Amino acid sequence: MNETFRQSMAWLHTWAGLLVGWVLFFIFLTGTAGYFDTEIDRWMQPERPLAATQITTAKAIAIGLRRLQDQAPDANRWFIAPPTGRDNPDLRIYWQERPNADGRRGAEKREVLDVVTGEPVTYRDTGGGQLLYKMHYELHYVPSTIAHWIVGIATMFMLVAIVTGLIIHGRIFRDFFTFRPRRGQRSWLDAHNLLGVLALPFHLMITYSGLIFFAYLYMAPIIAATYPEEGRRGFLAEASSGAERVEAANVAAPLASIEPLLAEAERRWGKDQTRDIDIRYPGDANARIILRRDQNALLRRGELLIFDGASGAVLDAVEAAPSTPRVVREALLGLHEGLFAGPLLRWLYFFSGLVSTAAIGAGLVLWTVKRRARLANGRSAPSLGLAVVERLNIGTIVGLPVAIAAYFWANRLMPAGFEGRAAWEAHAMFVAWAILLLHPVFRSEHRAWIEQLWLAAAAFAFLPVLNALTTDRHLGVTLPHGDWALAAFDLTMLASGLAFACVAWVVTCKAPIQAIG
Amino acid sequence: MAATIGGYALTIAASISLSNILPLPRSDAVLTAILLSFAFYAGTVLWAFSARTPRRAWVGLAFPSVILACLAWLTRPTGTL
Repeated sequence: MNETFRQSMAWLHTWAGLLVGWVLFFIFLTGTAGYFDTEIDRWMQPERPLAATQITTAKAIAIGLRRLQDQAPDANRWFIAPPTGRDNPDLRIYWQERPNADGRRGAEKREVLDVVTGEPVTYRDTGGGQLLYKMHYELHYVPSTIAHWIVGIATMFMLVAIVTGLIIHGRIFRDFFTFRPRRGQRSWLDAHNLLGVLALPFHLMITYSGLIFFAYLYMAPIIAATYPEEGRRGFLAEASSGAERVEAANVAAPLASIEPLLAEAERRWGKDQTRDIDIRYPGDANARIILRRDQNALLRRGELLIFDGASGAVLDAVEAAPSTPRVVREALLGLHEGLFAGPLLRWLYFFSGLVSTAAIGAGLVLWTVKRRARLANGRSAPSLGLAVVERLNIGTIVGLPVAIAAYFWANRLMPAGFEGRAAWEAHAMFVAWAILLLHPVFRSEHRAWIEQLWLAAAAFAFLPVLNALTTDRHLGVTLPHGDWALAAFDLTMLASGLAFACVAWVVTCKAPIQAIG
Repeated sequence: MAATIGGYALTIAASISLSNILPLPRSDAVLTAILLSFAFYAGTVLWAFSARTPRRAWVGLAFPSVILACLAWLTRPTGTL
């Protein structure tokens, strides 16, 4: 490969990476936490029972149906999602009232039901793991369409950075075994290369599939060319297999019994495979009952079974992905979300995500270390740019993890009944992050690293202690109960705290210039 | 600039042509073009940055964009526009 080509690729890699590095760090870290979203949800709602009561899909749906008939007999739509395991631990119901007289959408309501009493449960108000997970594509405080664009552009930069990184690098396997510690700039380069190569298939998969999620937004002109009049709506109607839309007949007809429909689904799919049940126009002659299959497989979308809601007859069975491009799309999205992953694979996803995050962080630090070295050799003058990048690095690479810890601290410290507490948990996170982004401005670079690293160590290591002081869902209870989801959260926080402490200790012991270079 | 905006234009033009040409049902053809578009975009960005001068990058992106836009126009599905 010719040298000038490689040089221009190196230039592109450096600046593409630097320009959006901090946004990417945020996206990858919060997204990685998202692989344990429901586990974090559980930790953030300590009122939840230790072990979930086992219940069959049919029983759970019957409980949900009873509640809906009781609370919203005239609703336009009923929806019941029985507990189906890790991704969906609760019995959830939703209903939408009929459109108002002026044609506006009817009111909506959601509830989580206790599977024993059938009554709605009241857990503390929290954004939980879901909010952290959502941040990686919706950010926060930003309208979602704008957020999708920002995330999409950053992701496109990431894709370019991965490909250019491969080109300038070229020697994948040799570097796999190359790490030269304590060599300043060389070590940072080795670390960046090693992390980049270590999870290369993951980096590529997660980046490309990430772009596919909102591809219809980013690549809207491609759709508009074929669907000039109907636009995206027309394309989606053709391209996504859903239930055909029908209108209510406005003629009353009793809703068919659900049990035979579930039995039919069981006959086709196997036991307890129904993910949710969607009832349109219950009590109308044109009612539809739509059962969706749980997605245990790679594909993100489950098959549908559509019944006539009055007679109970099967109307249609919709395949998950009826054509090759559709299979490719659903498989990419499924791979990205990893909902099919068992515990072992889930941890692999988590660590791969951390490796991606660390590779981005190491790349950002490498940029500053290189320029520091040039400065030390007298080959360049001190610049504002270097100082800014160094400060942003500290406030992001250490500051963002501390902010996430602050989110968990806020969850435990705010009273359970506090008005608007879910919003304030997120505010706590971003206030903490803002402070830590500002803090390095007032400190020397070396001091700022040391102080924030020790703060991070304390913020994570003491979370299990705080948990023990404020709830009865601490390690002393969760370990004997064998509740591994909750125990693993505390243990992971402890491990993160220790890891930060080790780094803090190493940095503290080093001379200032050596510390990061 | 050339890489981001010119590259996007070229990607869109190429993808529309592809979606028109592919012998698939139209929703599948569009989806295929969309799935491939990001790889194509990354490729054009790399190419633009390897060009020796910004001028060459602009011309190199604009020229195929125009050709592909014409192709997209010529192969447009009948009955539209």
